[in-house]
This record gives sequence, structure tokens and C-alpha cells, in this order.
Amino acid sequence: MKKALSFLLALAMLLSVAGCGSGGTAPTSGGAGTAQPKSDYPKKTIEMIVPFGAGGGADIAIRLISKYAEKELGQNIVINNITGGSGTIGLTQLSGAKPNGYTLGYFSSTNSNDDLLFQGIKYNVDSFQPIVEISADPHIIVASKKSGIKNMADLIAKAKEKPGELKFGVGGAWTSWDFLKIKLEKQTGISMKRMVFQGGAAAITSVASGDCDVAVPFVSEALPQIQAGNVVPIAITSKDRFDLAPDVPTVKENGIDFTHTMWRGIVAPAGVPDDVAQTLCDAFKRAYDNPEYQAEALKAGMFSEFKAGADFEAFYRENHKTYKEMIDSTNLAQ
Amino acid sequence: MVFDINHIIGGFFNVLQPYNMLICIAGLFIGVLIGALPGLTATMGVAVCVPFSYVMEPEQALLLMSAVFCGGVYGGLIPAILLGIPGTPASAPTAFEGRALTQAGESGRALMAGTVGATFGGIMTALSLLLFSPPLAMVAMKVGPPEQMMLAIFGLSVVCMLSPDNIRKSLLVGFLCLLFATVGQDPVMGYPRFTFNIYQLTGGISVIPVLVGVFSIPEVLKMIENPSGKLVEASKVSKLALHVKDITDNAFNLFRSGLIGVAIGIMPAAGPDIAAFLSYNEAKKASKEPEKFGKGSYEGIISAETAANGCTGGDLVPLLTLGIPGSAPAALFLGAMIIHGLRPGPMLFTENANVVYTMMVGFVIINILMFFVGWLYCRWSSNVLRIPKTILAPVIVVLAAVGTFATNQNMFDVVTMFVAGIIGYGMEKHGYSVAPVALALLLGPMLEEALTLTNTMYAGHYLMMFTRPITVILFAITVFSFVYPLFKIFREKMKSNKAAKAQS
Repeated sequence: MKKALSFLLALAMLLSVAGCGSGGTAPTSGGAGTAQPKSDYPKKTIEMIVPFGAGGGADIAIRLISKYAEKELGQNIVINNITGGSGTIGLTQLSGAKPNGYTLGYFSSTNSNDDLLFQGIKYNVDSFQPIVEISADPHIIVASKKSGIKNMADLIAKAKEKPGELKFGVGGAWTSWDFLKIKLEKQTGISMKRMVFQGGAAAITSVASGDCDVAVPFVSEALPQIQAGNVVPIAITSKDRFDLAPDVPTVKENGIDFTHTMWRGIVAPAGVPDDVAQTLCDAFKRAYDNPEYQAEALKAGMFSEFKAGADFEAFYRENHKTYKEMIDSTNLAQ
Repeated sequence: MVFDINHIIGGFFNVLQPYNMLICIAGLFIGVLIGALPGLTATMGVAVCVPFSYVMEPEQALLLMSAVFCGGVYGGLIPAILLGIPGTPASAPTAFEGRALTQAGESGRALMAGTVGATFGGIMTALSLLLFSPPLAMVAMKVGPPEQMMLAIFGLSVVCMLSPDNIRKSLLVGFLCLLFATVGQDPVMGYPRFTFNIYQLTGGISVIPVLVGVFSIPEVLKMIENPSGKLVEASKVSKLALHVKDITDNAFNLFRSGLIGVAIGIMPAAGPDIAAFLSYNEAKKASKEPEKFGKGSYEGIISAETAANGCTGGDLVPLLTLGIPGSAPAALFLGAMIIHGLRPGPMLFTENANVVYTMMVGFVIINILMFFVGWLYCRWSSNVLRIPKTILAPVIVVLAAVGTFATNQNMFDVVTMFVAGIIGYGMEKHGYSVAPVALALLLGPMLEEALTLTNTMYAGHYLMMFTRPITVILFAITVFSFVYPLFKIFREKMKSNKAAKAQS
């Protein structure tokens, strides 16, 4: 029985630690400053569904912004990592939640097309109300030392020399990596060989050891390898250079008009009342504008970018169409 | 990175600060508990810590996660020995031995043997992390898809060795489970296979729920078959004591298993579970009394636990030196480091030497403390055997269900667990070992990914992979592990023939 007792004790410990963690954020009453809509939202804890595990890129991004948004909303935000099914299980749960603003979730570039990518998915682009976009993370194109590729021109020349033989590491089928490859190939008229890894870390390791020629990891995955001199940085796929990697030129600077980012944002189930959506937009906007948040986000390797309201809604629809066209017109087996 | 004794001493004093020590000890207590509960794994324990670590100082965050990680890998052995239910998949081999020893009234000695092995493996891996990270990382870099494929094949060869009496049944289970491991999106095209429009299967059958079901539900159902009384008679709950002979006899076993643990640890994609099975198998081959394996062998417990705990430090080698997270727990460490603005890789050792040395020295101290925390837990938990089965059985079912749900917060996993459990019970009743289930489900996805990648790399010319030294070494070991038992049988026959001739 002592074991049961000690189990309860430890459980109590864990819970009390959890209590302390959230107790630290003193609730400031209501949203500061802005004209408050009539509704008294939010009056209780908000649940934030992250469909990927704790400690991953999605989790870090959401936890950071939530920490600051809590203060603006005056309510705690509880992060709930509902994982599995390549992220579709958490989003299915979100799409079925009550649209009252107390359940929100993480969303990224490809999710609105999940019903095309995965079998049996019941949600689609119309199941969600976009709230805010908080970051648009670029990829860094890196090449192995063995490949001899030093810049974009080399890369394209190598790929044209032997079409379909340059090994391009992908961090998982139908991820942002795959779409980058599809876009780049279409735009420059090259074709490369896909090497599909389970996760970005495995792909960049393979480039570092020379087994794979090119990969396109996110900044935080790429930096240690670039600093160690294990891989050759070619270009970053954002519009501008990134503060954490100021020496890496953009693809545009290499003379190719190409950008590709994976945006991350927060959505609610479709049908959220307008005033609730507005309150959330305002709160997240203020959290985003907090210089402390900006500093932390940069340290975590996020490429901050903000969109909200009608702006984000239009972008969300446009983004859905772009990816849908890519999926419809592509046969990965090529 | 330069080996720097000043940093090590500095790190040592950092860890010894009361608050840091408290965090290490608390982390171990939480970790062992999480490891001991079926369904909750070391990885999950570390994941639970991640959100707390965001508000802690970086050193403390990393010490807490290290302690929970080490404790979690260790904790699995307690229910494995007492109840025959491994707390984590890495303790599955221990469960084969532990159950028999507990029935024979030697639970205390078995627990201590496992604890000593785990501590030894833990200290070995912690010292490797502290002293030999750079050269080990160089080896880790050389491990690509062909090496992983060979390792997976080598691991699967264990299926044949585990239960030689029942080799056909084992192979059947192994093959079927390899097939089950292909459910879900295929790794290359993302095409859903055998998902029958059930979106929960998109990512494949979750391994942990299946293993929890297969290992714990049959034990519970066996208890219900004869519900009166307790697991063992009160007089048979033995004291925690270990004979000196248990350690001296196993000195070589400890070293070999520790080395296997460190080697598997640094390899990307392979973790404590695979290390435990491989080491257990090697111990069986090297043993003077292999017939004891499966019927209560201390060598088996020591080899499995030493190797499993020998993985923990090795797991972090590629992360700290190269910034490559080779396993799920390492990925969580990476997340926690990034949020604190620490970027793993070569710069870490110059820019944040203080933090990283505190963590690495802390790893050694944590593994030493683990012995004492483990001893306390073993003492308390031995009382489980005194609980009537009628109470114990439902408690285990509840813990298994809650644990399975807690990891992914996903009801489908709980259903998976129960279905797997009922199938597992049927298998046990008909003499099918459940061990191959663990091996095939853990290694199947790794084998498939590595196989497709090797295929792409060499455009189908598989023989090209023998240009890689580590692949050749692993291939040689695999061949050896198949041939050696045959050779042994052959030699014994020769011997008995000679003896027969000499007699006549």
C-alpha cells in the first residue's frame, strides 16, 4: 500500500508544480486599453490544442505566444498536446469542439488540405476560423561538402547535368520540405531524387555525413550543423536574410525569384462569434508586439510574421488553393 | 571541443548546490515512478518536464530532465520483476526472468541485481558522455541508412534466439508483427496502407499501447483465473540482498552489456529497448547456463538492465556535440535547450560551457543517486506482492488504461491497448511468445525507412552498402550471431562423439 501512497504523493507533487507554473501569471483585468466588446469573454481557462508533442517546433511556438497572450486575455491558456496520426487527431478534436473561443489550436501551411493528404479526415478548409498567424519559418537550403555545391547556381547546374540524380533529403512525405521541392523544381525546371527521412534531424545528419546531397531544414535544425562546418549553407528561402544566420543569402539574392515558408498560426473551430474572434486577435496582437516575446521568439529560431483578421482570412484561403493545386498536379512517384 | 578539467570541476560544484541536488533527487523519484507505471515511458516523463523547464534556469531544467530520463529508463524493471509486467518496453527481457525469480521467492535479490546493473550501465554511459563525446559523435555521424538497416536486421535475428524451443511460433508472430508495423502512411509516398479509412491509423499502429496491452493484460487475466490469494506467499517476499558472487560472476557481463548500451545509444533511431534485447541475447549466447534463460536467470536481468540504462548518456552524445537529436527523448532535450537559447552543437561547449558541463557531470551523479532512489523504491514496492490479487488486478488495468491515454491523450490508443491485450492473452494460452511483438513493432518502421533510403541512395545497387565499414562490421556480427549457435551445437556433438569413442 505504501506504493500507492507514494504514487498519490508524487501525483500531488506534480499537480502542485503545475499549479505554481500557471499561478505565476497574475491575471490583469480584461484587455488593456481597447474598447471592450459587450461579451464578457474570456471568463475561464482557454484550451490550446497542439497536435504535436511537447518540445517540438509547433509546441515551442505556441507555448511562447501563449505565455504572453495569457496576460493580455487575463485567463490561463492550457496547452494540450494531442498527438498521433501525423497531427490529424488533434485537429479532428479541434474541429469538433464548441466554437465558443475556449478551444483553440495550432495550424500550419498544409493542414487545410489534410482531407486530400490523408484518408478518412472529416475536417476541411471550412472547419476552422483563422485567428492569427504568428510566424513564417523559412528553410535553409544546405548541401553536403562531398557534393561540391556552393551556391544556387551550382545546385541548379548539378541537377540539370544529371536530371533526377541529385539526392534531395525530405523530412517526411507531404511536409513543407516536399512542397518546397515541388515548387523549386517547377520554377527552375530541374528534377531531383527524393530521399524521404522520418524527421528533419535525420535528413540533415545524412547531408552532414555525405549520404544525401541537399536538404532544406528549418533554421533551428540547420544552425548547429552550419556552425560546426558539417554542411554548406546555400540559401535561405525567406524574403529577407534572417538575424540568426546573417551570412546566409536569400534565394532571391541568387537571382531566383523564389520564397517558401511554413507559416504557423492559431485557429478556432468555424462558427466562433465575431466579437470573440476579435478579442482573441487583439490579445494575440498585443502579445506578439511585446518586445520580450519578440526577443524570446528570435532566440528560439522563429521567423516572426503577423497576420490577423480579414487579412489572415484571405491569406488562409489563398494558401489553401495554392497547396491544393500543388497536390493535385503532383505525383510524388516521379 | 577541448577536454577541460576546470569545466568538469566547476560543473561538479554546480551540481552539488543544494537546490540542484534536490532537483536531481526529485527528478529521479518522479522518473522511476513514471517508468514503473505501465504505459508511461521515460520519453513521456521527459515530455512532462518540458513545460516546467521553460520557467526554470537552463542548468536546472536540464538536470531535471536528465534525472527523469534516467529514472524513467530504470523504473521499468520494478513491475517487470515483481509482476512480470515491464514498466517500459526496455524492461521486457527483464520481465521474462523476473517473474520466475519472484515466484521462487527471490524477488529481492532480482531487484538488487537489476538495480546494480542499471547503476553500472548508467555510470558507464554518463562517463562516456562526459569524457568521450567527440570521438563517439564521429562514429554516430558514420551511421547512415545502411547501418540502421543492418542494425534492424541484427535486432530481428534475436526473434529466433529468444525461444529456440518454439522457433516456428516465434517466427510466425515476428512476421505478422512486421506486417502490422507497415500499417499507416508509407514513408516515401505518404500513401495510407491498411488504414481502412480510420484516420487514427494514419500514423501507424502506436507501439506503446500495443506493448502495454500485450504485456500487462495477459498477466491480469492470469491473476483472475485464480483470483484468491496473493501473488506469492508472504513468507516468500524476500529481503533486498545481493550476493557478492552475483557481481563477481557478472563482471564481464556488466562491461559487455554497458558497452552494447553505449553503442546502441549513440546510434540514431535505436534506444534502450533495442539495446536491452540485443544485450540479453548476447548474454544468453555467452552464458555458461543458457538453459536458465527464461526460467529465472540473473545474468539475463543484469544484461538487459545494464544495456538499457547504458543508452541514456549515449543518446545525448550526438545531440550535445552535433546538435542531432537521435531519439525521441533527445529531441525533447533539444526543444528545452532551444527555448533557453542554447543551441546544441560545437558552439555549446565554448559559449555555454557552464551549463553543458553541469549537465554532463550531473548525469554521472544522477546515475549514482539512482542506486539509492532505486533501492528505496524496491523496498516499498516489494509490498505489492502482499496485496490480494482481487485488488491488484483491477488496479493494474486502471493504471494501464490511464497510462496509455495520458501519453497521447487519445482514446483510440486505449482501445488499441485492450485489443492487443486480449490477443496477447490468447497467444500466451497457446504457447506463442509475445517477445517478438515488441521486437518487430519497434524495429519494423526503422527497417522500412532505412531500407527505402538505402535503395534510393544506391539506386537499387544494394551491394554498394558493403563499401561502408560499419555496415560490414554489423553484417559480420549478424552472420556470426546466426552461425555461432550452430557451431556450438556442432562442437558439442563432436565432443560427445569423441567421449563416446573414448569410452568404447
